[in-house]
Amino acid sequence: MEDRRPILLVEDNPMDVDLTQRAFAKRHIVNTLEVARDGEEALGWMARWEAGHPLPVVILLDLKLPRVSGLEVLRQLKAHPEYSRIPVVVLTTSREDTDVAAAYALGVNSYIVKPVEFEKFIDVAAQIDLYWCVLNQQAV
Amino acid sequence: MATETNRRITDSMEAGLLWFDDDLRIVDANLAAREVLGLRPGQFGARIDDLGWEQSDEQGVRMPQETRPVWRALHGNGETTQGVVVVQTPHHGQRWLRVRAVPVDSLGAGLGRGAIVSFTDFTHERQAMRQARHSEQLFRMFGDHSLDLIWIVDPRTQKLLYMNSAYERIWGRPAAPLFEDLAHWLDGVDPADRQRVAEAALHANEAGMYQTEYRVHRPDGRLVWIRGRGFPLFDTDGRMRYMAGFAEDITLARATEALQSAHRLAQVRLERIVATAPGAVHSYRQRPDGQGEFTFASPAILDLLGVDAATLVERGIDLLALVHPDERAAVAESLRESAELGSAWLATFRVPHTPAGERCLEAHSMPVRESDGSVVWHGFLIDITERRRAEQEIRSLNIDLENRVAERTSELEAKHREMESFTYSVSHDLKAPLRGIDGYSRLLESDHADMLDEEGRFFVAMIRKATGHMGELIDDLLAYSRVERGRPKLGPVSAGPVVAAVMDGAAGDVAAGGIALQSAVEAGLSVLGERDGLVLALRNLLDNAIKFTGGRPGRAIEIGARRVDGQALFWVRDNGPGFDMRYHDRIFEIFQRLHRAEEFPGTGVGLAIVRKAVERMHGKVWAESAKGDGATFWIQLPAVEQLPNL
Repeated sequence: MEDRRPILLVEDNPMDVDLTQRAFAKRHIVNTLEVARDGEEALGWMARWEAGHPLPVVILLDLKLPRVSGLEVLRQLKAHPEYSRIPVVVLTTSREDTDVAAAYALGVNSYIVKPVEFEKFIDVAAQIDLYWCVLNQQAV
Repeated sequence: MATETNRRITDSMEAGLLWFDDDLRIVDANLAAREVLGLRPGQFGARIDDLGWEQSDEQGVRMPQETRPVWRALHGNGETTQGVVVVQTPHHGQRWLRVRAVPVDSLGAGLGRGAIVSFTDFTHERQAMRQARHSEQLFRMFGDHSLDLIWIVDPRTQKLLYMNSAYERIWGRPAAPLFEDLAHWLDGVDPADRQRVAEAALHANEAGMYQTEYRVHRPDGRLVWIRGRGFPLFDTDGRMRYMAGFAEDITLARATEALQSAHRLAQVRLERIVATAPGAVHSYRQRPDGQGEFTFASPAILDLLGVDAATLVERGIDLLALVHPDERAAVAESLRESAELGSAWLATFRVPHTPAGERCLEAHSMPVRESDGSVVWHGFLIDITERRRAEQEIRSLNIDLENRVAERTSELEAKHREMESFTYSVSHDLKAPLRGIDGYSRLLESDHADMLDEEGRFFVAMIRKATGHMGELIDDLLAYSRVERGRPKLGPVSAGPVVAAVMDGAAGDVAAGGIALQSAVEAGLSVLGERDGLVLALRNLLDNAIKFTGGRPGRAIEIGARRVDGQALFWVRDNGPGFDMRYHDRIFEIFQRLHRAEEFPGTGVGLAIVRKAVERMHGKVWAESAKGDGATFWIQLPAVEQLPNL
């Protein structure tokens, strides 16, 4: 059974948002891609979920965001009693050891470095789809 | 009885004349007799005994009648008798008389038998003689009590007339031989001094006095020093009668003098040392009741304590009274501890009132406990005010320097962080648009190729190629900047496992390229470095070798390490095209490439990463090559002793 709940993408670069959507499409991932364009907006989604909006199956989180940083969003999500269970995959260009360590310390579920090549991007999308949208859901 | 003529004659005689009858009565007396004995005419007809005049002999023993010359003359066989009779007269005292008594048959007309006594009064001579004898006795007694030798010689006969007992005491020799022969005078005198002693009299002064000092060896082996003095004795006419002199044992005096001179020398030396010693020398006493006082101080104490040495000692001023009030208790405590343990007193304290204002002093001294329970510290005080000031200056300079270093370091660190965040931004910001270019060109290529002509498809292919290259450049740039991150954590690193890990990492490329990869690592070699840095450097060198042997037949690479002169040398050798040694320095610079991109792919960052990684470990890197004949890259790092088997 495939989970048709939305995927939340927290990404400030519209080009990356577009490319992610296209990569998902190439992989025939049909989950709705909901987008938060900065950290503040990402945190705003928590209110929507309170109001009954379906929880995302996975959150793809860019670290370098305007206003509220990705790590801060991660911290607040993981501090929430309910939403802390939403898997979060950090998706970023940063290879900084400190960022990786900080993200894992905050309880991130995975950490993927954004590749430059579009083909690899599609591979990443496939991994996300396979793991978070299929395998993980079946395990629940 | 005497006639008038006879009387005149007898009265003029110097000797005394007495006429006795045979009953021992005085019949007559001449003038001399009357005067000597104080005899009055009224006493004629009386016996001597009747007059109460005691008669005794020379020894002072009372003379019985029979022993008296008169009695013996009257009762003898007519011979003249004589003797000495000491008569005690009432008015003229004791008279010493030499008496002669002559018996006569008739004393004159009408008179019978009797005796005529003549006498001379030698009372004065006797007294003079007694006095002379007494003087000589006194002289001898005096001489025998003298510690010094006294001697008198008759120069004409060269005979020793007198010498006291000091000779035997000082010389330790009997005196008798000297009285025999004066030449024995030189017995015992040190041979070196003999001539001087013998000729001493030649150096007499105008008054004839001379003096000399010489050594005498006593028979018991002791050496004594003698000071001899000689002088002439003259009679009342001014003629020289005797030579006399003294000889004095000056051994002790000389020793004392030597001691005193040594003492004076020591004193002078001490004074000079004290005067030139840095600081002030002192003796400071603390009585059992805790009261302290200076018993000695060198003049320099004035500069240190503000009180001159004399005042300090005379008034018995306590050191503690001069110490800064804030430090008095601590100084007293340090003194107490020194006294208790008998250990050196070392203390530093301030003295507020000196000619140069407040001074900081350092005390060094050793305590000596005296019999009365007081403790005396002998030692010195030095002025360390300037030293203190200099030390403080150095301290503050050091602090200043440290602050400045810290400031610069933090500035540098801030620059570094800025640099890091810059590269972080570069990684993110450059990659994001690049992803767009790549993504959309890929979509264009895959989804819209049929809408492009041949040239359009070529353009898209070029865009994609350039995009790929730019991605590599950014990745390498990031890798290069990451090498610098953080401080190197240097430690011993085993060469073997590092080389093995590097070879493992490249195993795929090596197999794919059909490369003959060999390793030659000296067993047990360890270096001082950073494992990750060394792996990074060697991996880049190996990647470099793989790249540059690409497309050539018989690709062979050797990676090795060995110890040379306490240094570890790593090398990666390939049989690629090599490079022109003219550019051997440039190849380690970032973005410097010696080959065209068509020949060998690359960004020109790999070797720059190698150099940066090696330099972080304080090592050296260099390359050797002959163009067309391969290249060898060297890394040198300090070797360390073999690691213990942990």
